[in-house]
Amino acid sequence: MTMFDGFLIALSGLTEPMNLLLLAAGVLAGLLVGAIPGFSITMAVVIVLPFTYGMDTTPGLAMMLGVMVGGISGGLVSAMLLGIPGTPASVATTFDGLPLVRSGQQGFALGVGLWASCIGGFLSGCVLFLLAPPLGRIGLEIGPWGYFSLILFALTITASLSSGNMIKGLMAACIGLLATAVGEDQVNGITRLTFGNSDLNGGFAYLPILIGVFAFSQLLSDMPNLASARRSLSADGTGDLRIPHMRALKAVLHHWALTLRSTAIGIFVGVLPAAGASISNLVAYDQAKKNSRTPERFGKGAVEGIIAPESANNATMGGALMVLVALGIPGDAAAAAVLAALLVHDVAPSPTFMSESPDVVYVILLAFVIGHILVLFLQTAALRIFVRIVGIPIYILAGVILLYTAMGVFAINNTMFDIRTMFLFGMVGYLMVRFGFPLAPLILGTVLGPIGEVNLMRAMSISSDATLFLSRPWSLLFLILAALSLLFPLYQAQARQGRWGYYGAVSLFLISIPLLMMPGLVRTVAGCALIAAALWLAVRVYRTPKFTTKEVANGAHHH
Amino acid sequence: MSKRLSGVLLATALAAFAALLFVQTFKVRNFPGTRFGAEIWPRAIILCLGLLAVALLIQSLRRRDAERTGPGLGELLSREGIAFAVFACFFCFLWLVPRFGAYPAGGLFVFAVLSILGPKSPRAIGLHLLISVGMTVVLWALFAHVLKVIAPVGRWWALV
Repeated sequence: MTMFDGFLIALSGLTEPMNLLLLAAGVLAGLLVGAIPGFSITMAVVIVLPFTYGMDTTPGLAMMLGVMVGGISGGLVSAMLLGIPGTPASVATTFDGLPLVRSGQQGFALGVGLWASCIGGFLSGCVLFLLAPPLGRIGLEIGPWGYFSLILFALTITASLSSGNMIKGLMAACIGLLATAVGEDQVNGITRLTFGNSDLNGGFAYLPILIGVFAFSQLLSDMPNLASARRSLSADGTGDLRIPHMRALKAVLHHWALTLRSTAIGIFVGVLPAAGASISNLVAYDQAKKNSRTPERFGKGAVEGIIAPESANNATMGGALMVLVALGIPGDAAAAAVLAALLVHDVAPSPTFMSESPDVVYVILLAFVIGHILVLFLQTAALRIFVRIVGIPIYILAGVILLYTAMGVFAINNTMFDIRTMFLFGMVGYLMVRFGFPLAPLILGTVLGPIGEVNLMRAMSISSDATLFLSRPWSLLFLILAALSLLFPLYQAQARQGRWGYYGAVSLFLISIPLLMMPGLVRTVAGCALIAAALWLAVRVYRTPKFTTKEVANGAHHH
Repeated sequence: MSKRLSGVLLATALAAFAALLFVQTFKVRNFPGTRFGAEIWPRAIILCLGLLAVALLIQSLRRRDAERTGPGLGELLSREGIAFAVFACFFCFLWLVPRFGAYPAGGLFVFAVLSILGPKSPRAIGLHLLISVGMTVVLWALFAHVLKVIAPVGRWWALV
C-alpha cells in the first residue's frame, strides 16, 4: 500500500458519519475533562478509553485523538474563567486570560484562546503531514542500538526536566522500567521478580499502572483537606459566555506572525522527548513578551498573552504525535496515554509503522487536524456543560471517577488483577508525589521498558560487541544527548551565572560528531554548521570580559 | 521529622528494596544455552536504582537542615487522612468485589467515600446514597449493556 492509498483509505474511513460523530464525541469529552482544573489530558484519555475497547481501529482512534485535541484545548476554559489552568499546558494562559475575563470580556477572551488553539493545532497538523513520512524513514535507519540509546535519552531528559531533583527523576524512571520487567521476559517468556506469585507471571499491564498512578495521585492532590474536598470550582467568571467569533478571529489573524512563531515553538518543543505542552506554553509566552513592542501590557489582559501559549500548546501535541507515529516513542505522559490508547486498538507505533500501516497513520493525522476544526463548533456546547460540572464538589467527582476508572480498568482484560495493579500503583504514585518524585519519568519508564529491553536484546543478539552503541552514529548521537541531558542542571547553574557559553560550544561540538559520521550531504552540512556555531560561541565567550561571581550576582554581565 | 532524616530513611528504604529485588534476580531459571538471560535487564535497572538510592542517601546526609522542618508522625497521619480513607475504601471495594459483586461493591465504595469526605448531615447522607445508587445503575447500564463487560457477580449472591 502506498502512502497516497493509505491517505485515501483513512480519509474515506474517517469521514463516515459514525466515525465523525465519535471524533466529535471524543473532542467534547476532552474539552470537558481538560477544562476541569486538576484533570489533565491523561485523565481525559483514561476516562474515555473504556468506551473504545469494543470499537474497530478507525472509530477507536478517531475518538481517542478527539479526546487528545479536546483535552489540550479545554484547558484554556478554566485558565481564563477560574484562573486555574485546566491542564499544565495552559498555565501561561491564566496570565492574561484571567485579567481579560475580569475586565468583562470573557466571551472575547475565550474566542481568542479558542481560535489561537485551533490555528496552532491545525498548522502543526499540516507540518505533521509533511514531516512525519521523512521522520519515519529516518526511524528505519536508527536500528536497535540507536533505539535503545534513544530510549535512554528520553528517560534521562524527562528525569532532568521534570523535577528539581534529578536523582529522584531517574529513580522514578527506574521504578517505571522495573514495573514492566516483572513477569515473563520479552523474548523467551521466562518469569522473573515474581516472588513465587503466579498472579505476577503475566506482569503488570501498562494501562492499569497509568490509570492508577494518575487517577489516585491527581484526585488526592486536589483534596489536601476536607474543606478543599467539599468545595466546588465554580466562579463568578461564568456569566455571559457568548463568543464573538469574528472579532476573536480577526484579533488572532492580526497577530499572525506571533501565531506562527508560537506554533513553531510548540512543534519544536513537542518533538523533543519530555518537553511537552507544559513547557511550550511558557516558552511561547516569554518569547511573545520579549518580542512585543508593548511588553508592559502583558499580565493585564494582552491578547498576545493568550495567543502565544494557546497556539503553542496545541502545536506541541502535533510535534509529539510526529515522534510517536514515526519512531514509536512518546514524548511525555500525555503522549504515553495516547500510545496506550493506540495499543488497546492493536496499533503499535514503531519505525516500520509508517511503511506498514500508512492507512492507520493517516487516520491519526487526519483525526488530529479535523479534531481541531470540530473544537470550534463544540466549545460553545462544552462551556454550558462545564459550568454545571464545576459546580459539583470535588469529593463527589473523586468518588465517582475512581469507581468508573476501576471498572474501566477491569474491562481491559476482564480480570481483577488489573484493578489490584491500579490500586498498588495508585499508592506508589501517591507516595512518590508526596516524597517529591516526578510521575512523568515513571510513566515513560513503564511505556519504554519493554521497547528498551527488546531493542537491547536485538542489538546484543546481532552482535555482542557493545562498542556498536558508540560506533553507530544514531546511537552515539542519542547517547551524547543523554549524557548532555544528565549535565543539564549543571548547565542551568552556569547559565544563571552568565557562563553557559563554553558548555554550549562543547555540546554543539559533541553533537556534530555523529552527524558527520552519517551518510548524506544534508547531515554533513548540518554537522559542519554545528562545528561553526560551536567555534563562534567559543570565540565569543573567549572575547567576553570575565566577571567575578559578585559582579555576576550584581548583574554586571547584563551591561 | 527533619527533611534530612526523612531523606535518609527514604533512600535507605529504596536501597533495601533494590537489594531485595537484586537477590530475586538470582532465582531466574533460563533455558539452557540462552545468550541473553532474562535476569540481565532487570538486574541492570536494579543496579541503577541501587546506585541512585546511594546517591540520594549521600545527598540527604549532606543536607544542613537537621532541624524539624516537616510534619511529625501524628501531624502526617492527620494530613494524609483523606488519602488513607480513600485507599482504605478502595481496599474494601477490592475485598468485596469477589464476594458481593462489582456493581454493589462499587455502589458501597462510592457511598463510603462520599460519606467520609462529604458533610455528615442527614440531607447530605441521603444525597450520597442517591448518587451511589444512581452511579451504580449508570455503570451497570454502561458496562454490562453498552460495553458488554462481564463483571464479577459475587459468590454471596449464589447463597441467596
